[in-house]
Amino acid sequence: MGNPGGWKSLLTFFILALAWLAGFSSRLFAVIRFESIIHEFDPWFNYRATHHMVTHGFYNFLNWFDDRAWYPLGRIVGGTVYPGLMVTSGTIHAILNTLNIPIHIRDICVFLAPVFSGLTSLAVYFFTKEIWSAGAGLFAACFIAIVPGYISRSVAGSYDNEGIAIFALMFTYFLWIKAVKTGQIFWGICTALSYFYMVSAWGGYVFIINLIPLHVFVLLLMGRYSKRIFTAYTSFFIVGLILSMQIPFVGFQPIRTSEHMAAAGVFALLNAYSALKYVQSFVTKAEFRYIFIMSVGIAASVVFLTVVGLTWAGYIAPWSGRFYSLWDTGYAKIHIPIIASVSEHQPTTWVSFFFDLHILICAFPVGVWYCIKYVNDERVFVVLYAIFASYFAGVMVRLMLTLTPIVCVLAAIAFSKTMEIYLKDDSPKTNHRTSEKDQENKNERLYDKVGKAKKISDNKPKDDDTLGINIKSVIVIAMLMMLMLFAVHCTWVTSSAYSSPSIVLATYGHGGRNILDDFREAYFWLRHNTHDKARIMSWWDYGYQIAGMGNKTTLVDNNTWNNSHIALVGKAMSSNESAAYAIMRELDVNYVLVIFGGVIGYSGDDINKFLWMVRIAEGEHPKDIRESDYFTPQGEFRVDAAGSQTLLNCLMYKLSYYRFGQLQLDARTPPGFDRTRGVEIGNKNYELTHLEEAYTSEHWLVRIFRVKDLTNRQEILKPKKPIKKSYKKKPKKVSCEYRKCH
Amino acid sequence: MDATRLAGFIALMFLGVYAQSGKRTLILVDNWSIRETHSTFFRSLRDQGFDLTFKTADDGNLALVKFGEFLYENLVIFSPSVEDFGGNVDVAAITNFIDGGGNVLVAGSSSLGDPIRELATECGVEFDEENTAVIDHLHYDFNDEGKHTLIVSETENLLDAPMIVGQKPSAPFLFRGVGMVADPDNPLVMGVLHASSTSYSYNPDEKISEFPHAVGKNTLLISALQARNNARVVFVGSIDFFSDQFMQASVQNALNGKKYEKSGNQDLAYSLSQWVFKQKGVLRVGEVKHHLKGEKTPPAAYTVLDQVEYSIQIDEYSNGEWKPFQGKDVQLEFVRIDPFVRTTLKQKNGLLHVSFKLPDVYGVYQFRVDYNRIGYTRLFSTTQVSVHPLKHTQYERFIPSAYPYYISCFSMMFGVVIFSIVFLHYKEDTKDKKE
Repeated sequence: MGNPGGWKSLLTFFILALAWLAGFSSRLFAVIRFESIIHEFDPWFNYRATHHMVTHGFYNFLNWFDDRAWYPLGRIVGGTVYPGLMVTSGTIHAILNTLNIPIHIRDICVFLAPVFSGLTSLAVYFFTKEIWSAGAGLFAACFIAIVPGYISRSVAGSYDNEGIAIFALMFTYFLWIKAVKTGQIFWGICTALSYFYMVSAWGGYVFIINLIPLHVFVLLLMGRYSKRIFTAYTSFFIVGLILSMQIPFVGFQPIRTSEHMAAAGVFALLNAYSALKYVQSFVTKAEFRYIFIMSVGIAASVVFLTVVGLTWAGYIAPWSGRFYSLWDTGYAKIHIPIIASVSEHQPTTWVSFFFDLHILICAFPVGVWYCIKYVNDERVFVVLYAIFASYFAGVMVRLMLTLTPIVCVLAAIAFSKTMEIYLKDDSPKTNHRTSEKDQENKNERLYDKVGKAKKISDNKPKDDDTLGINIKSVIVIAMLMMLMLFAVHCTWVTSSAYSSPSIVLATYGHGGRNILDDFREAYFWLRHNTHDKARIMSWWDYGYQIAGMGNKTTLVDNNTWNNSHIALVGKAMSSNESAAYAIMRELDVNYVLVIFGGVIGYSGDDINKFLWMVRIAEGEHPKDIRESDYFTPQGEFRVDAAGSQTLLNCLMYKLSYYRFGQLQLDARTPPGFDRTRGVEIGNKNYELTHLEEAYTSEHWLVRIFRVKDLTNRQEILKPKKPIKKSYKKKPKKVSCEYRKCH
Repeated sequence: MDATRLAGFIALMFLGVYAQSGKRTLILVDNWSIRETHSTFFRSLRDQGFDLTFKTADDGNLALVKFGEFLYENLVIFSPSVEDFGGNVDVAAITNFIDGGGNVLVAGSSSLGDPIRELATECGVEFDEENTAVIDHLHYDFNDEGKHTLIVSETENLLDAPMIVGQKPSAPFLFRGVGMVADPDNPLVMGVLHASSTSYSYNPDEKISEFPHAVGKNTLLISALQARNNARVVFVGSIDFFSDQFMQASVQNALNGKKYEKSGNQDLAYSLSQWVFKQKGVLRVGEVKHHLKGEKTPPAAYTVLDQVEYSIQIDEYSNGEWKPFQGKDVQLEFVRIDPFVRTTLKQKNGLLHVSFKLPDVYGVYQFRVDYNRIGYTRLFSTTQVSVHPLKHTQYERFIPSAYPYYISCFSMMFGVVIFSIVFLHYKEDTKDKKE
């Protein structure tokens, strides 16, 4: 112990490295169980875009017009993505290649999020260190490394914006705290640069550009105005504003949409405030009062009138739908079914708070309390962050992601503070050694935290502690147990809930694990057996996968920018076959792809999503599609014989259950027994007129139908006078006729 | 060895040429006497260069397909009373023949067998039952035998389509046979000749006890189907329509006594045969070219507001050879779900050509020529291209309306420089003063 500072930094380094490693490895479940593969839906687009950028160069990516998506509208990819993700992995790829490390871009994409989780740990460490202490920082870094709320979006293969955005978010906040503390332009500019990276990476940058102004505003209200804040905010705002407008997708939004107005307003307010402060130093108190009231009144009314006027004239866009749904959780359900249809936009259940955060959610209020108790400029920020993030996380499941870092930070503060009290070395040294020994046997990794926490308490002894050693050790052990359970819970959640690639399914039955690779099977069938320009109609969920794996043209995809186009597809799916045929011909559809889970009991299939298609179609075509038609008179949605006739004859039903009535899965169930819905289907043994089955995957999960051309002749199906059908000479034709008759 | 190979080669070549001509015609008859009674019509076919093969409809060796290839391009069914075709032919074989592009001319009569009726319903036309006839008590011929079934069809009942029926004939037509109806919503079937408003279709020997199958102008005497693959099928309700007797006969309306020396049957039969066997009104699309103005080859993708040149070669088959089509009403559409541009193509060096500016909307478009005229084969040509938005380098760099902003920007920069110089110097001055 010659150099305590040296030991401390070694230990810090060691713990952070371990946190990085633990975070990285716990995200590899999917890779180990399945393979190095891109997951889910959006990552497939990101991967495709990255691949395009790596092969064609950045400028071609920027100008990329994707004529395989949104047929026939097309999509300007360069102008409608946050390019940060692609540029990041493209840069890593380029660097590795210059170092003569040949690696496929897919592997970089797969492992990007786990690697960035380590960087997030670091950012969280520095952030917590700035607002509390290095010890709390280490706690926070360890928490964020393994907390399921963050792992859910950053497992290997989940190649999505959030993977890098959380790092950018926390790093920006760290730099902002640093700027507020020091009041240096340098840190303000650094914040802006980091903010620029965040803007390029994720739409969640709006959170930053609202939270930081809010912080400044609240500091003003609290009378905590200082030159430091003025410098930090003005330098950040101006540079950040200009930089954020360089992203093509963001463009003029920062000066034209309501979401960004708060930042501009606070900027004006801050300047006005400091101007008044300046004026105050020249004039008498009475004069100042007069000036103050006048100027505040005039400024407020001018700003208000300008904003109203500009909004009325259309220069400032009113709040977007997604934003409204943040305040009114029922809004989306009524007005924008497409937003409500996405499961990650649903309100969060309380269970998922515990599921994603476990013990941290309990320690979180304690941290908030400590921050309020020992408040200073930075801690105000943390408290605001905690309040707003909790609210938003309650509104939308996906915003749990923004809550997670602050929960980790505050829980870390709570644990660190408590440990500080209960591990305080106010007794003979030998006693402490033994208790430490006990813990060491329990859990090696937790021991690191204890050791570190102890160090801090050693460095900052407090004098208000009079507890006995037994109580202390009981509490410490209890806390360690909880942390241990937290680690176990995290691993379990990661392994069971968040590590499924969802394009490869696994079932566990007798005979071990059974891999269902139907999705890829079908997409590769599309890739190899259909015309290069073939247009595939499917529900928008599968658009990115068809484009990414099947390399075929899609009508709608997960970038849900055109509601009416999606509604048209929804209308086709919910109409009867001949009405759907008219729509499909208008859209030049060659193939229709549906996901059907009735054979294996896969619940995420198109029939279960079907009501959303109906709702979205009804929103645009209320005359043709009515949701109530798809329910039974009792208001039930059922596919058995009691189901509504509209449902039993719509295209989606007919495609999903085509020939399913002939399939008997089990000796105990009748033919045509749908395992997902647990019923025998109501409409069996029908023939398709305008479509024909082209491909059905092994477990019937993906079914592809070819859209037929118009018939060569139009025969008269019901002659007025009977015609004796001739005796057919070909036996094959007889069977055909037989089927037609029935 | 070489000689046989050469001979085989020549034979193949001969067959190839032969097959190309599209004139192999099978004629199915009820009995051989039809060859004699309808000799004028058959002669006119032969004169047009058709290679006629006569078979009875119940011939045991009858076949339309051999080794997966069609043996004929055209089929004439002059055997209305057939109850069962011979050999491998049945209604399904004939509809397959139509779906394979073959042309069929069918004649019916009052003794109509079910296979013909079934074939007709497959093609969207419904014949009346056996033993019925089209009866018209106001337009029958002077030579009628009292049942008013030998009817005189006036020329105004004819479809106004010179490509199918030829120039407007001077004399009315004689018709004795069965009537038919077609679904008016069926876009593929045309009523070539309909009966007069006073006619109806019923068994002339029976008392009318139920509503007739066809009444008035709905009763079709001659109907034509042009299937979507451009195969042509013509149904004529009367086999006597093609007979020598009817072609040569004089026509006199029994009621108003108007008399014509010779019926219009021969001219109409000739025109119909030309049309149904695709000697007239056949179009084909040749090369389609599109490129930017001033260039030769099409680009990988167009950009909005480009000036584009489009040309299409359309040929018409007439008198045994392909010639550039002279139509003035061919339109080009530039379609993205809806047409954004619709313009008429103009003749230029035997090509149809147009130059137009692309719309200011990006997307995946199709150049589409969809030419449907009665009597002509359907012509449909579509070419998919994508239209890109402007690239980041293609936008205007210096917009006049933005000059105030440029000026403010540069004046600001200038001002900051001046200000900082003044500021620095001012500071030094105060220091000096203090000192």
